[in-house]
Amino acid sequence: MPFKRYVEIGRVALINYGPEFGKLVVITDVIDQNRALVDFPEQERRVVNFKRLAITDFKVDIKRHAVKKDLKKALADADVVAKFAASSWGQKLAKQAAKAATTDFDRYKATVAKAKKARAVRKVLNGLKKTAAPKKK
Amino acid sequence: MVMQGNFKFHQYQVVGRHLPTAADANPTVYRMKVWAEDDVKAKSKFWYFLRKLRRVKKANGQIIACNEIFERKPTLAKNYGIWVRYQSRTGVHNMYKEYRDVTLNGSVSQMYQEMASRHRVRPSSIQIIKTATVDYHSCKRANTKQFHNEKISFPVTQKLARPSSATFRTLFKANRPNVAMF
Amino acid sequence: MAKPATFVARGITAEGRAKTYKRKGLWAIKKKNGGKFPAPAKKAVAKQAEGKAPRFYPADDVPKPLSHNAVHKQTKLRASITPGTVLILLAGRFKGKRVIFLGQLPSGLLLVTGPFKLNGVPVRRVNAAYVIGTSTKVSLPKLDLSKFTDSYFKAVESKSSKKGEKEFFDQSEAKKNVLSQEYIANQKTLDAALLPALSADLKGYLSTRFTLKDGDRPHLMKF
Repeated sequence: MPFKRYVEIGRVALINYGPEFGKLVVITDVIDQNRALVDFPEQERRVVNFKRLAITDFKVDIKRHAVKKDLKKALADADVVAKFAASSWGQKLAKQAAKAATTDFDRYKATVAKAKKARAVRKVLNGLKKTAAPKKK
Repeated sequence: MVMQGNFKFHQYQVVGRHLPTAADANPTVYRMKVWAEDDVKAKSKFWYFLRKLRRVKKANGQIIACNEIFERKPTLAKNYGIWVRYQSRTGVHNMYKEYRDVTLNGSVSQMYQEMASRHRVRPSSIQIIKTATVDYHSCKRANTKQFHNEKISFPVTQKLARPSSATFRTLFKANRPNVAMF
Repeated sequence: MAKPATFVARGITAEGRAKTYKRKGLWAIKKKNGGKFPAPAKKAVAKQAEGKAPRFYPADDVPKPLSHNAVHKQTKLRASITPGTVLILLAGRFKGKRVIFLGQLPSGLLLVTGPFKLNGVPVRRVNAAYVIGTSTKVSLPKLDLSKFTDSYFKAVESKSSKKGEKEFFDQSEAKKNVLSQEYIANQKTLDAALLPALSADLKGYLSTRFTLKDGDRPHLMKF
């Protein structure tokens, strides 16, 4: 199977380790085989090791060392942030974040809702079982 | 401005001269850029080099200034050339090294690492003759040139399967990680 | 005059407490003063003539009581605990219960109630250290909490008489600790005032206990 995702200038990647976990970035230059210069609007351009980057399917059309303005425009044109959030990867991350943010009260409400749903399912299932069961001789 | 990396060696500019004497009331002032762990070691390095080059020692000289030099643009990838002279077990060698980095300090640390690994040379027996940011068409080494292509494209072949932070690290896992990066 | 003590080693007398009592003739002193030791009369401290230092330093150290300058300040609560916060109790009989924080008492302890109707936790005081403050807040109605002072919760001292064998086996006399009518009434009025302010969800929430299940990581949870 060939590789589909490549390290390229303009490639969108996700930081998958450390305090910046979950941040989307764009590769603006490749320093060497281990590190890339990454950038994003509202972030500082900085060096990140490929060990901490998960490369996504998305790519934006920028030049090497693109200035913030061009980067912003390219990202907006490609609609990367929204597209990533809509992808199954983005949805998974959003779900994880939402789950981590639940409070004690939220967790209680979820338990109650789950029990309520299970009760309803069981009720229907038992009804079906009764009708499907062979009659006693 | 983001300071990239936590360097062992910092660049210092040290300025010093011979103490004024009756014969020479205005001795020549010398300025040198050196790499050292701190300013104390930088001054020591300054005297080490100066007494080799001129008839000035710490005993008859004075330091006028010692400042750290910071990278002007630490968000720009550059090619750095470093000319070094080092003492091996057999003799003295000169060498030219080329690195890609965002700071000169970073490339100097890369150089020290490489000299230690390839030639088993410790920092104490390395003298940095000269450093320069090298234009992409003046670069000599294939390892730096290969990254000059703006349409560079290569896959990351091995995924490092690890949790988002060290706190989530476990010794045992229920499933084998998928490290394929297709 | 009492005989001098004999020492086994330095600082250790040969005789015990009872023997020493006898040797010193303390009983005689006690008898003379009507069954009590005479309290030493407080010596009036001679006033120093001003501006004149004594000629000699005193031979003995004069013990000087340490000054108590510490001002008792009320415990500062963490920002997450404000009146109306739902707290999770962590220790004691009611551990795991979710309760409503009503206010802080002058002693620094937290005034808390279940409400009793929902989870059986009466109005009681808890230490802030044994509590998790949740982000859930109840908008409290106007409550009269003037009755619930620190002294309100002081346990009434029960007179413990020495039990003989007869009393020990005689179970009929063992009295149950009966709560005073006033205490019960106070709880009821407070519950009545509180309950209308709680939604059905909150009522259910407060009536269940907090537990940790498999895979839960409390240090990473949000409360």
